Amino acid sequence: MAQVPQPNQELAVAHACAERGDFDQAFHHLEIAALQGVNPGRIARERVWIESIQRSHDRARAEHLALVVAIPFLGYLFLSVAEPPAYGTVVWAGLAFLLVPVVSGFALSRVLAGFTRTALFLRGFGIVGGAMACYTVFNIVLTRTRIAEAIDPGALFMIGGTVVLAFAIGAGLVAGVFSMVFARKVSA
Amino acid sequence: VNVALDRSRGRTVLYIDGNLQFDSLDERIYHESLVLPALSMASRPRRVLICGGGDGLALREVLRFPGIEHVDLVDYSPEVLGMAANELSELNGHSLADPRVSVHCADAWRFLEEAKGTYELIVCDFTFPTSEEEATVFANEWYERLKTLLSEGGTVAINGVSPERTPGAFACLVRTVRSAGFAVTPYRVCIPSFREAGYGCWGFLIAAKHRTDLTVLSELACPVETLQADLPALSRGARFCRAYRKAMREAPIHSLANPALLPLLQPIQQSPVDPPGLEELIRSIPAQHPYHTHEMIEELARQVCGTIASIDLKRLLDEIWKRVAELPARLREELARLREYVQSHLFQRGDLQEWSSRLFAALLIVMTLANSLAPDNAFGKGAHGIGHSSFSRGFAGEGAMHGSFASHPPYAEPSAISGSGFRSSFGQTPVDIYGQPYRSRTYFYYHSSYYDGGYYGGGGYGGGAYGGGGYGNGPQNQQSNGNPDTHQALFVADDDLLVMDNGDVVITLSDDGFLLVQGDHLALMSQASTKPITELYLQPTLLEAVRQQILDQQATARGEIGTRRDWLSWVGWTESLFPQVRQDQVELTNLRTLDRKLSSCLNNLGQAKPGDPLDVPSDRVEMFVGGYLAPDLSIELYDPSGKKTSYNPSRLSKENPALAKVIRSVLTKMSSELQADVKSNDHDLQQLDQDEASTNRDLAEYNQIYASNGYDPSYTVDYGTDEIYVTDAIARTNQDLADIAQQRAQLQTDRTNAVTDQTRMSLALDQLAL
Repeated sequence: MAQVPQPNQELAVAHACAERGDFDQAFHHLEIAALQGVNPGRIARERVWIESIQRSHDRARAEHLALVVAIPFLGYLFLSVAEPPAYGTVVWAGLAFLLVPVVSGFALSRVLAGFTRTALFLRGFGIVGGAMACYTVFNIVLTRTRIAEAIDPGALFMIGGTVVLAFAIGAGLVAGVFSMVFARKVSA
Repeated sequence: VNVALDRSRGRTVLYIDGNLQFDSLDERIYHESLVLPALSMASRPRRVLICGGGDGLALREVLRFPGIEHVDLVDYSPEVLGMAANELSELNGHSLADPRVSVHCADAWRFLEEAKGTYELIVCDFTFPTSEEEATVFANEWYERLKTLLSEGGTVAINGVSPERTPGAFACLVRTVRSAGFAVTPYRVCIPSFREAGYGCWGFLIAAKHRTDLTVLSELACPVETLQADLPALSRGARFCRAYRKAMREAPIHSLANPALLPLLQPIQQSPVDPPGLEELIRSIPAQHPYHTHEMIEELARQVCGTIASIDLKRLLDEIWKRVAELPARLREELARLREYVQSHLFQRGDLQEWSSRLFAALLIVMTLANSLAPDNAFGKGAHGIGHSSFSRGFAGEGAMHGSFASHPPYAEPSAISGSGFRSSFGQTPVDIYGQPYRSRTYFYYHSSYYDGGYYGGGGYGGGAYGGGGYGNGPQNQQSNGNPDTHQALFVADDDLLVMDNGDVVITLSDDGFLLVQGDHLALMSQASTKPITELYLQPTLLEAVRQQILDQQATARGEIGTRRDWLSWVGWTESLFPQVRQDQVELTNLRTLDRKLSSCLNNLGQAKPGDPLDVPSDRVEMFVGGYLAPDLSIELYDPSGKKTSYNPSRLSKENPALAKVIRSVLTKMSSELQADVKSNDHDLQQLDQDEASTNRDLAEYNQIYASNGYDPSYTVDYGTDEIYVTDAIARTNQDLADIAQQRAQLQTDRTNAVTDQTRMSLALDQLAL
């Protein structure tokens, strides 16, 4: 027969969950403890403590997330040193569509441990896709301005838009998928 | 006299007849700048006369100066004097009560008539004249009277008018004082309250019987410490630009008989839509495009400033305020603060002109940058249309002929492709490095191996579609061992230089003749003949020039290939979606083809035969490389071995009609070009004459200024945009005159040579026609 957890045990589990960063579980165990008759004042104190842990945890996560966002931007900034033909098309494609998104996806999965796979995918897609879009826009504009021949602005917008969209989606998908692959589930 | 004293906001402000007299916040700038420089320049000042200045503030400054024994203060306004003794006594330091001071409530003219003795300093601190009566104390006669009361080393400090708002009146005042026999030093000072009241910077004058100049002000030793005025900086305010100085020399003299001052005191009215002070900025915008004229920019300025100036922000806010109850509370608060700010700050400093000027200045800076970066796109005109600025590269199309290709000036900087030739017609018609397509040209001739075989073999030359109609001659006199090849001109490397599809080079001379470079062979060809007229000596300089020209063009082409390759590395995969990208791919392919063809051409060019360049006497006129016109009018051609053959022009038409025709067309063309050169030289000489006359006038003016200022080398004058010492200006102007003389000598030499050559060509042409 399974042993029913005692109220104090529930509080200990809530503590452990909070220290691990699994705050949903921590609050869940706190509610169970309340139902088991733990003093409401104690419950309130514990809630405040868990919330403070959660806030500091969120702050740290936000700082780490900023670093993760910087990875693809720095990667593409580095790639901007030369145009794709200087790297060789295959090497450039490998760097831009594989290395940078994979590294970014990995870092994201570490920082956002505990997030659902969908959330990780969307964040990875957004961050790396955005960085790739910036990289592409800047380079397309710069390379085009080096050509003196006039081009219809509408056509340029369409061409540039297509390329930016396609490249951003490509890199974003790779980053999103790899952030899911590297996702580390937080166990209770 | 309507005297008003405003003591609100913790300040004391005096108005007389509505005109601001002083503001206690900065009145010391005015009074210290008026009194202390003149006192410092006076020789041992002891007796002082103050005319006007009933407020006692100038008197306060005089009394601060050491050694002052007696001061006569004359003012005709009892109200002002009463105010100075009471309300203003604290501000003027109870100066009217000083035992050294005698206050006279009297008319200044009358006081002067009765005055005895002399003064070391006379201060004229009169109010801004608004009537002829008030202007009498600014007249020539007034200053002549002052002169009689002034000691030998004494000075007169004069409160002037605004040189900024009323420059004509200020100049008139300076000239009037000068006409009374004084040496005058005018200077201006910025007084914030005056500027706020719209008076601009304020002008003062120091008059003395002895000579004064800027150095006296810059080395001013004032024993009294100033509280607000910056006396060491006064000399900067005493420097006036040339226009001012000219005005001071030419302004009318204000006298009782000729009251010229009052009309000049009408402040300059600026048009409400003219951007104030922006003229220089407008002029500095580069008009890099035929469509971009300064008139257009000025019109834009008028429209922008006019639109902004027409916004009545105050009224707009008032109208909104009427419906304020309908607004949410927070918005009401914000609106109230904005309304208060607009009413208390914005309109106290003037209207929206200033703001519109600032906005317009920012707009102009943006437009200037945009115009510099993309001349075709600035001013929102779009990228299409005729008149690309890139056309201004000086490319003459075709037909221009140079006497010596080897002496061709350095080629222009490679420019980017702006035409569509590499997208559409490359391979069918010649195209230059800018992508500009030209008329198609077809040539028929044998390969140079025929020359190596020791004979020309009869060349076929014809223009398939040359000049639109085409010559249509077709090959003639063809040898039995083969037909001449057909070659298309592929690339226009220069006005006269064509690269053929097989890598040969054609140098066009005239409509009838051209030079063909094949390997290390140079042949004179005729459009009308099917075989080369003669083979010529291939000068190493020609070969090197052609090689360099093609290398330059190839470098440009490779640069263009790089830019297109980079562009297509991003967007190339969309070529099936976008026709523009497909065209870019075609252009890249054609540029790569051109690069290969130019490499082939360079490989074909070969080397010049060893040996020194031809030693051609300098009195020959070069018609083309290896062909010269001698002074005796004989035609001299040098064969590949360097051997000269002379032809008598009068017999050439019979002996070698093809050669005669080519020579005639070349000489005709050269003659017309020389004629144009002579005309151009004449125009340049005319321009030089004008420049010389203008420079001489400047020199005379500088010398006059130098003499009138006692040959003081430190006196500064305007030299263009700089202000430099007058001696430097004279030296530079003399140097300009020497440069002009040198240019004239060079132009005259060029003209003489051109006329001589043209005469010789005309005589040769006459003989050729016989």
